[in-house]
Amino acid sequence: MSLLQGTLSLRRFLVMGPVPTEADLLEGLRQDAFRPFEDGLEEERLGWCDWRNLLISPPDADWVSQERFAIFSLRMDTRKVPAALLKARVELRLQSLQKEKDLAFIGKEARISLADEVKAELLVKVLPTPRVSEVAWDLKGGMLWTTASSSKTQSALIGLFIKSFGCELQPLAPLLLAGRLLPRIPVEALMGLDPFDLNLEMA
Amino acid sequence: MKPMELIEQGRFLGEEFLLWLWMRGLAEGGTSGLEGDQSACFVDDSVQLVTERGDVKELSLRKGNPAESREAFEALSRGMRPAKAKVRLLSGDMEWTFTLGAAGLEISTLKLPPTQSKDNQGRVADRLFLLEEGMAHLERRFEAFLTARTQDPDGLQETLRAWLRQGLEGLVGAGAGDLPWQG
Repeated sequence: MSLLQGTLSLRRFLVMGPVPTEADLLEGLRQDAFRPFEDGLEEERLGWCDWRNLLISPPDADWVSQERFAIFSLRMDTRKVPAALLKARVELRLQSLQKEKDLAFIGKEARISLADEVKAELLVKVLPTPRVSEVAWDLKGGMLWTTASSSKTQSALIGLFIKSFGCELQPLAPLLLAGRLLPRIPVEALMGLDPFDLNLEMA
Repeated sequence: MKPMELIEQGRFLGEEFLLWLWMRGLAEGGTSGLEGDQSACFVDDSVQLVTERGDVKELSLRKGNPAESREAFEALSRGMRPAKAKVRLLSGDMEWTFTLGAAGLEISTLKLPPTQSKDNQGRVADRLFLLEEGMAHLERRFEAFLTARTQDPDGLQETLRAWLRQGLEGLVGAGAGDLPWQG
């Protein structure tokens, strides 16, 4: 499922804010480009990548501009150590530590610190699961299409978008689209409409 | 207003728009009613209806011909409203099919008309053009619906109610009036 082939699931947003120059756009993409996980306990990472290949990061400048659109992707990676595996590893490590140091008991803080240590060791071995959502930003029309369908990914997109480009994204729901298509009708008039009563049983 | 509030506050407009598309698909051959517009739009073989009242909160009608079914009209006449519907849009020899959600006018499982380009750049340009073309047809309809909705809300409500009554009597759609004993 992508802009390139197959079926599409799309959300549309209105882009609020000044349109960046091409240089600013590319700088925003570079500044918040996707960067792979390093050591540590981080379980989620996100950033921009190329729409053709998620391993190209930052997006290739020659491929971002497509006529009046800027096209790129949001990459969100997650990595997680299976809870059962982590618990089992920590348990074994605690036992060997008790034996080694001849301890009757290990305190809570030391247990937490050991669990973090084990988790960091295991996280390095875990292959991240990438999720890629394409973005097509109509720079002239002030509209943005995205294949990000979950509310979590959409929230991440909205957050990173404002950070990178200083523009706010508003979901193009019926009221907002109505205001855009019929500017002659005041917003108050649209907001004041009551839903139709189509219940025939009550009649 | 926060995005979620904006979506919630306009949800009923999305639901009524779906219903309007549904009605025009059956009663007006799917036309938009706009001069010079040759496109057609129909509710296809999948409809999801919802309500906050009653024992059944959600009803999914799929396969066959749910848009003309008695089950659908009975549910609508009890106050259920369309939350999602599969839509078929035709213009010339091009066809778009997708599921349209009422709350955010979200598009899912969109199938675009085929493209000719072989390279990535050409394909994506073609597909964006076709995407915008399809959405322009839909937006023209949304605009026509909104105009009727704001200019004569009572008239449009009565038209929809009359159509629902006809639906309950089996008088809408392709089969209406075709029964031998009605001839």
